[in-house]
Amino acid sequence: MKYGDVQKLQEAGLITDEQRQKIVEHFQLKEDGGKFLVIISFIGAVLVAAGVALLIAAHWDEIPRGVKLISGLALMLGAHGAGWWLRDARKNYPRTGEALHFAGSLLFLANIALVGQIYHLSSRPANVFLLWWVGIAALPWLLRSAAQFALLLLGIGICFGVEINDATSLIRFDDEHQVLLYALLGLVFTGSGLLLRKSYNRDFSRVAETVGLLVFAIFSYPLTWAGFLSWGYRHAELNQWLLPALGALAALLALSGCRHLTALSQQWRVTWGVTLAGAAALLVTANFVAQQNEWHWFGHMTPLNTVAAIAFFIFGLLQVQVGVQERSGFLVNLGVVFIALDLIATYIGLFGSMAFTGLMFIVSGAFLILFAVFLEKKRRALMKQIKTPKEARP
Amino acid sequence: MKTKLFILVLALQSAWILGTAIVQEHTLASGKVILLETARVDPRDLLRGDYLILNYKISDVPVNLFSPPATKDLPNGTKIYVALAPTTNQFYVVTRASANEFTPAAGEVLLRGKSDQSRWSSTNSIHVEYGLERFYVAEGTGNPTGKLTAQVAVPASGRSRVKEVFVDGKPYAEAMKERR
Repeated sequence: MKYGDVQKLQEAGLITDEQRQKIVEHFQLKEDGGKFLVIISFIGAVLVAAGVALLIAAHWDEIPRGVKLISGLALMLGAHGAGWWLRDARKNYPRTGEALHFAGSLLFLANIALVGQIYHLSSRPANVFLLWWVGIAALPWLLRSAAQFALLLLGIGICFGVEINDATSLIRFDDEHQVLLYALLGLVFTGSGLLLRKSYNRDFSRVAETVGLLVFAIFSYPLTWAGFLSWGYRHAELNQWLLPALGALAALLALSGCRHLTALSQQWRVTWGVTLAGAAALLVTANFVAQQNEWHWFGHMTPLNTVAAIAFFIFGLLQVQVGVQERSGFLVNLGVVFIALDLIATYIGLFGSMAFTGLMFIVSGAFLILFAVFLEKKRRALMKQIKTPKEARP
Repeated sequence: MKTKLFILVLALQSAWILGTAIVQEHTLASGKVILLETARVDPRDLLRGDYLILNYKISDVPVNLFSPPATKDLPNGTKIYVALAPTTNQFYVVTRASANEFTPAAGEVLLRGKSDQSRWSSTNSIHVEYGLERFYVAEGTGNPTGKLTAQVAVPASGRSRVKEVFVDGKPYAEAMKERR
């Protein structure tokens, strides 16, 4: 239900102003018009920060380093100051204010880069991002900002990614299997989000769950590609405990967090918790599956890819069902999109020999077109079901 | 209360930026300035732009200069202390090295670095990184031709910093401007 729909109901005389107010409060609806402003503001903030970073990278010798430092600092503090003024002091442009705080946090990273550039510091890249992350870590709570929290999660992902790809790192994991770690990190975010639902920080739970499931889907999807993880040199110095530890953490968070899904029945709470934990277990197992000894020019579906494709399909279906019960359009759409992508990957993976290629193209092409129509119909029906209040359902 | 904490976080962020700048400025201003021979390759950093990777003659330290003796299979990242002394052509060269800190003799400077086994070095030497390997330059000027020399400030702590790089004796930015 949208804020605008409730407004229209009141204008049509179907509900009173008091009832409208109660509905808005009950569903915690927010004004729709603000979304466009939010998107525009955040795109603007990212553009400003990226522009400043590029100007820094251009390295203008003509500007004295003191001027560069003071300008960088002034921009960062100015962005936060203006954000605070609009959001907390005047309170009339909260979303623009949040976007300016967002730019301010990105500008802190730009300033770290600037100092490194001016003094030719050659520190480990992971330390640069870790410093940035530590510097902004308190801001989501101090500003009560979901955008800052999303940035914090992004920061964790970047720090983690850069660290595991560093050859000198204690948690080195710089081969193709690192996608498993990112997918597990996504599940850790999701589980954390579920746990946050019943805490003082419940306004951050949606961000953690959304980012987490998106990261999980993006990084576990390659497992369904024919030949993925089936061949390649594995360095002996790769960390051995990180993946099982992250898997255990993801499973633990998911299982304990699912009890907070109050919109689901007990049976579905358990099912979804076990599904998330099972996904973590499968990701850990994928790391220990023996690789092929022979290299193939064209990858073919290995047992790992087949299991992943089936598991991904089942996960997508369960996610759609949970999305329907949770009335979450995001869960439904994400599930449907990745089921479709899974089918496409499987189709390509099972692509037969050259003799049947033409026939396969025609039959499978027609099938995909029809299946796409079917999926779209299904999606629309599910979305309609979400938008219909529970009481009105047959 | 939250506003105060928010201001405290911003103050800490600013303090790091200014504090790092002050420490680096102090190193550049007070450190003993030495000249090193170097060569370069030119990649690009996503955040900090074009830079030269400087490979110094002192980067490969012969194992026979280590005291106590060291072998090539020194663990990656081991702290290495390297003493340098000037030669007749004013460039500094390695006189001795150790995995333990020691006091440099008169006329010597002590540099602190880390062993880096991921880089190739000759069979009888250990590759050492001093934190002097990057020199950030203006956009599109990372391809100098000519003899490169680096002017390095070395404080008592041994954590040295590049002060300037010269191309055929001219400051880098000036030399590259003339070639445009």
